[in-house]
Amino acid sequence: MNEKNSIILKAEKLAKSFHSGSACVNVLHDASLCVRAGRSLSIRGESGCGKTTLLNLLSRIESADSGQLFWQGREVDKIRSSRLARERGRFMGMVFQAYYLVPELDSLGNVLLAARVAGIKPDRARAESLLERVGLKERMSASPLTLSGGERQRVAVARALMNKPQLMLADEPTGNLDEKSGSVVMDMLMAVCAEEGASLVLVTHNRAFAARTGEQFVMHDGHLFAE
Amino acid sequence: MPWYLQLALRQLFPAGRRRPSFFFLVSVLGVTLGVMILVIVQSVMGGFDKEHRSKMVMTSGHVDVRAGGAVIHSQDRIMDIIAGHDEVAAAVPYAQGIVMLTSGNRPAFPVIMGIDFSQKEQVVPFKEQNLVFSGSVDDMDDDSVLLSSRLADKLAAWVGSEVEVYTPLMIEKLKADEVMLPRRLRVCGVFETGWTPVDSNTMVCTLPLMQDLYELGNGVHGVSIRLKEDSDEAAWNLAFELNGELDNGIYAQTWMDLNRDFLWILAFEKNMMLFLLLFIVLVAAFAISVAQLLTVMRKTREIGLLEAMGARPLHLALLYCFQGFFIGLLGVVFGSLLAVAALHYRDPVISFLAQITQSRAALEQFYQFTHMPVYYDSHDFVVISVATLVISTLAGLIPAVRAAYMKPAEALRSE
Repeated sequence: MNEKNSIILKAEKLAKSFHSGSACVNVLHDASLCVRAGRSLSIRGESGCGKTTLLNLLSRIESADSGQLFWQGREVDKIRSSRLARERGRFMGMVFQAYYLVPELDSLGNVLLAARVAGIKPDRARAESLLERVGLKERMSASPLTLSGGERQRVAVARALMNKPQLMLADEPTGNLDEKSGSVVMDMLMAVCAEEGASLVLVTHNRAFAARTGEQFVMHDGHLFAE
Repeated sequence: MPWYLQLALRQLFPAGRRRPSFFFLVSVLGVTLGVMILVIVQSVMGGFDKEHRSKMVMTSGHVDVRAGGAVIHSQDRIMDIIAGHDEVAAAVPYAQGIVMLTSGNRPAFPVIMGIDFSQKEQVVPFKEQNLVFSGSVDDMDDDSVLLSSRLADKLAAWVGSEVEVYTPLMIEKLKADEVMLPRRLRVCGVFETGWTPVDSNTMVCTLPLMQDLYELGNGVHGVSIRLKEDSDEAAWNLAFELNGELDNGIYAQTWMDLNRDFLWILAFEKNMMLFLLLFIVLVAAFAISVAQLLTVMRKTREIGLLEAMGARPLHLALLYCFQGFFIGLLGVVFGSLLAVAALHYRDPVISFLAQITQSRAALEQFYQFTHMPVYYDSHDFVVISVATLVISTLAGLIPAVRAAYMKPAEALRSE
């Protein structure tokens, strides 16, 4: 377990550009940030300013053009590509705006899937406990297709926490929800991350949600600023 | 169960009220039809093959001892050697050749087979199988013959008719200006074995008559042997053992050696049919590939999520390869069951078709069957099943590779 306030994720001058034909769009310019154990931070900004790209770079599901990324002090570029996915699956949990639940599995199956995919022995009791903590005790065997948007996102949160990650990356988790459901999901996300001791990186439009995190960043035209 | 296997099954067979996808059903149907046709064709070909083999054995025995066409005078020693083998059910000396036969003004040049009818156990089961459908084999003597059905038809000679036989020796004597009268023989029976090469042009007589016609003295051309157990391996073994015991110049051959070319053609035909019909499965494999590609495209973001959660490319590839495998497996099971059901009801179907096309008589005359022979060979099932499963799994490989090499961020961004 990391000591409180120790740095679990560090990004230094991450840059990313996309090429479309002969045009080159610089999406991210020298973004740097640190995530400390058990702490939360938010990244706020307009649509298309590069928030999701930064999150993708932090989770290394996308490579940066330049800059360095460290997970728990280890340079991510030095992790063998064959091990990277597994390392990611164990180190961090991810929540997306569009939930991305597997429709063929029930709620419990979706939560257990996170462990199985990451090569961790699935702990059914933990999965049930997580679903109970996000208020879905009665919907464990429900298909995602029968769940409301808020319920789906809560399953996604439980899934992200299944492997006891040290870091939770949440990309607009309330973006598809109405204000009330969004608020419930946000409360629950903050609470369970705190209970689990997981750090949280929250990407959001919502100033109020952003204000609830320990550190706030704003992104504007690919530049990241501390607020 | 590994997660990719469970997910593959769930994607194919959704739980609850959700139905399997249309593309999945079409893919399974395609493979089912391919397998069904393959099994039917191979089983019918196997049936004909089996039928041909049994007729060959019935008309020539399992093993044949010969001296390469030369006359054998040591048949007693050969019979003693054969008698030392317990697996032998019957051993009958024979002599054979070609004669000219006339009945009225109709000529024919049949194969003449002189058989030692004094042997208690016969190789050709004239009595046991009721091969003589007109007259009787019991009426055979040294002045009578049995004619095969088509030969009798050609000569218009029936039981009680007289036929005249000219041997090659008579022609030799004619060259020396000797006058030789044909041998007049009585037809005592007409037989049919169901084996066309024999039924079309064969005359059977007693061994003494044949020895007389060909001036063989006590000589014979060979000894045909029937085994107690109808087994290819037993025939091979006996021929091998006899070849170690027989005098030089006399050798034993199995019925498979004697009919090697014909058996090769049968096997070649069957293998060619399998090869050509496998293309049906190949077409079905394209349906699998397209269906799986559509699934991969539909589930692009889900694949991106799995990669983001730590799924290895190999496991993602296996997820879709397994789906191809399962589609193939279902096709094999349903295709085989439908084929067996169709073959079970083949006779009513053939009868119905013969009835509505009024071709029953033609069917019996030209194909010699109203009952279509079928033989289920486990080897055929294994070959068809393995080939289908391999093709189906490979069909899932293209979408699998596409899924495995998808970049997670791009997959999650896709619309």
